[in-house]
Amino acid sequence: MLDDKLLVWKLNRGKINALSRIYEKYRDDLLRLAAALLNDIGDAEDIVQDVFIGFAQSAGQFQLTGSLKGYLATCVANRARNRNIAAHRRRADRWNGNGPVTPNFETPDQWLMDGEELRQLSNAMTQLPYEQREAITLHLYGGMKFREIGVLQKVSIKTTQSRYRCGLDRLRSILKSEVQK
Amino acid sequence: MRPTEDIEKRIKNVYIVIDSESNKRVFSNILQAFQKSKAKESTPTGLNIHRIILKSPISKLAAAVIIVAISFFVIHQGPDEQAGTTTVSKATKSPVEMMTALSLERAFRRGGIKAVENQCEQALKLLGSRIASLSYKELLSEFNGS
Repeated sequence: MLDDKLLVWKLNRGKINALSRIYEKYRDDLLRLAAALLNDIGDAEDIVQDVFIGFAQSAGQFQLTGSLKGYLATCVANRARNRNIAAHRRRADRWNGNGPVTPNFETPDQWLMDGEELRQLSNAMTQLPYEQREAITLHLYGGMKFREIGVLQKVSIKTTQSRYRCGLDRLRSILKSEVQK
Repeated sequence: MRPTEDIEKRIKNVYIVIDSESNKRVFSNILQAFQKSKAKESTPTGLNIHRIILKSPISKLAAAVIIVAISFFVIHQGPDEQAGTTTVSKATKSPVEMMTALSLERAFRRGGIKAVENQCEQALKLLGSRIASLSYKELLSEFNGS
């Protein structure tokens, strides 16, 4: 936490190496978070890039009140939720016409390379309700406490914890059944 | 390991590979945005100081303490010391008080020897022309406040 405060302090004073350090430190977890929430590598990349660009643009005025990782993860989760809502609407329109849309794992100039493990996890995550997916990814990739996730999801801590536990149990059984296949 | 910990570890450590060329491109976009915001941030020094004071709680507290200290100093300095006049201090009431060593010292600090002379004159005026009826001993004992 102190390390992040120092990095933000340096960033606000225009130090490029502070920005680079923050980017390298949190890029991977934010990409995992976005990929798990969206099941679309291209969208996940766009969102993480947008979040870092927005963060870079706020340098000079940024005030860190909590965890930097939690802040960035929240930004990713909010954008992912909006993207998902928009995607659902598009899918609903397409269901009326042309059938289901398959998840997009192959895009040119890919930043995040598709791997078997990532694809397996993303596919398993899509079988969970979105709130459970969000609780799991924000806790594990965003390092956020259940209380903070509850505030974001506008539910109580107990509900968040329940979503997390149920989501993990379901994921375990999905991934186990994938292995058995 | 408990099943929960096992699945948590598996999710947390899911292996990802970053394409280095794309990574450089993404970071350069981020850096561009950062440098643009830095260019917008360069405001005149006066405004920057103002923003620095208002942003940091410690700076706000320090600025408030300084303002209070200056106000206290200005209010409690008193008009006599400020003006550097040689008027007799209004706190002294009687000729005896005016002629004590402390009072004379204060008068000297205010306006030098001239202020001391004025204070002595004032004190004597208040005493009135009693020189003929007072002995030196009586005069001195009165001056010394005994």
